[in-house]
This record gives sequence, C-alpha cells and structure tokens, in this order.
Amino acid sequence: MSGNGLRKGGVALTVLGLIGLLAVYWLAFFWVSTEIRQGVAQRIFYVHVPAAWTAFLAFGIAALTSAMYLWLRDERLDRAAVSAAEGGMVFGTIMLITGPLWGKIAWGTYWNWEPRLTLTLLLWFIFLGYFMVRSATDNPEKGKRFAAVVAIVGALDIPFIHLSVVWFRSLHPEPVVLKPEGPSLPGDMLILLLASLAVFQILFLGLFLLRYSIENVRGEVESRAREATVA
Amino acid sequence: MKSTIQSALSVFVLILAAGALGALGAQEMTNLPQGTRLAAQSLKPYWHVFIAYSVVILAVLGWVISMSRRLARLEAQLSD
Repeated sequence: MSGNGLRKGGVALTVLGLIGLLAVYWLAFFWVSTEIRQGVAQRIFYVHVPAAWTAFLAFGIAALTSAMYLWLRDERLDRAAVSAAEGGMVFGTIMLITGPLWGKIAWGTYWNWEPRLTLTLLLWFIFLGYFMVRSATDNPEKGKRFAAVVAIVGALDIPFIHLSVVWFRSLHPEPVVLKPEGPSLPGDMLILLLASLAVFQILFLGLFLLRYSIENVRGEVESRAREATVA
Repeated sequence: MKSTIQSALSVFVLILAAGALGALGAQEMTNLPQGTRLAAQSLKPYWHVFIAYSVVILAVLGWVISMSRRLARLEAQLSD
C-alpha cells in the first residue's frame, strides 16, 4: 500500500472507530443493564477491559515485529514495531487510569500492589524503556536493535499478567470471558463488551496505520539527509 | 483553526458524556424504591465513570493531535 493509501485507510478506520466509540458509549449509558452489586461504576468495565486487551495486542505486535526485525533487519518491521508500541502505551495508559477509577469504588482503594496490577505497571514501564532505549544511543541502528530486545522481554510479561489472578490470591477479579468453561457474563454485558472490543481494535488499527505512515515519512527524511551528507 | 475545531469537538463530547451520565443517574434514581433513594445519592461513582470515559476520548484525540503535529513537522522538513 502506498503512503497516501495507508494514511487514507488510517483516517477512515479512525473516524469509523470514533463513531463506533460514541455508539458504545450510548449503549453503555442507556442500553446495558446495571450490575446489581457495583451499580454504575461497573460501566467502567466496557472501556477498561477493551483498552487492556488492545494494549496487550499492541505490545504483542511490537514484540513479534521486533523479533522479526532482529532476524530480517527490514526497516518496515521496526516501523511497525514502534507504531504498535506507541499504540500500546496509549491504550495501556487508558487501562492504568480507568482501572484505579473503578477500583476506588469497587475495592475502596485506587491502587494495590497485588500481582496483576504490579505486573501491568511493570509492562508499561518496560515499554517506556523501549522508547528511552531507542533514543539513548548515538547510533540509531543500535538503538533500534536494543529496543527490539526490550520489546520482546516486555511481551513475555503478558501471559503472566493474564495468569496472575489464577496463580495468586488477588484483589483483581478472575477472567470472566477468557476461561476454559466459557464466558460467565450476562448476555447484554457480553455483547457490549465484544462490541467495545471491536471498536477499540478498529481505532487501534486506524491509528497504527497513521503512525506507520509517519514513520515512512521519517524514513524518507532521514534517507534524504544521508544522501545530502554523502553529496 | 484546526486546533480550535479539535478543542470544540472534545468539549462537545465531554458535555455529551456528562449529559448522558446525568440522564442515566436520574433514570436509575427513579427506579429505586422511595426509602433507598436518599441512601443512593452519592455522585462519586458517576464522577469516576465520567472521568474514565473522558480519558479514552482525550487519550485517542491526544495521540491524533500529536501525530498530526509530527507529520506536519516532517513534511515541512521534506519540502525544505
């Protein structure tokens, strides 16, 4: 796909995602039933969980493309990795803000150093390190390689985040959708969760394409600068 | 001009979300039995939901604005 095609596709998907997000908000406020124990605060679930899944997907893509970059040394893979990692940071930040807002109502505290929360915060800091490592070296190629290793190490944390609530005693509830015996959510809540998840994925894909197209332009600027230096 | 439209859009969405939450609160209050209405009048959970839903919009718009600035800067460098 050409640079312009990528950008147009990204803009179209982002606009579609934003419209979908407004629809999800409407459904969350006026359609879905209210959870009997937590009341209105449970509605944070419909943005917190999709943001978490999107962040994990983005960090997973960043790790996968980073591993392939280390193997093939194709610049496009590094561009995809940095674009996905930035998306992971944005959706990870949403997860880390909305979670404590819900936790304050449900648990009576914004934060608890229990395994899932701690490992999730660790993942966010590892990917913060990814961006710091990229820009910390004089040689950009070396920075990209070091950052790729950081992304792979960071993504190894994701399975532990998922399983931590099963392995350890935890304040955080166990999975209600991704479990062997199937989802245990009421029908309307499950439908809205899946709709919200789809919308978050569309938003991420649109923004990822936009971010990737920017990396392409940056690559062009850098190659012209190199050519000018050689000439 | 572009940033004014973006700011106006953000404010519009926030007002929309606040209005929706207000309507939801009013609807839920009227569904409660008379005796429990006073006890259920804490607005704290509504504020938390409002902030959480606003954070999503602000984070996404923030990323879009940041990307558009970076793109404009790179395209200016490219045209030099």
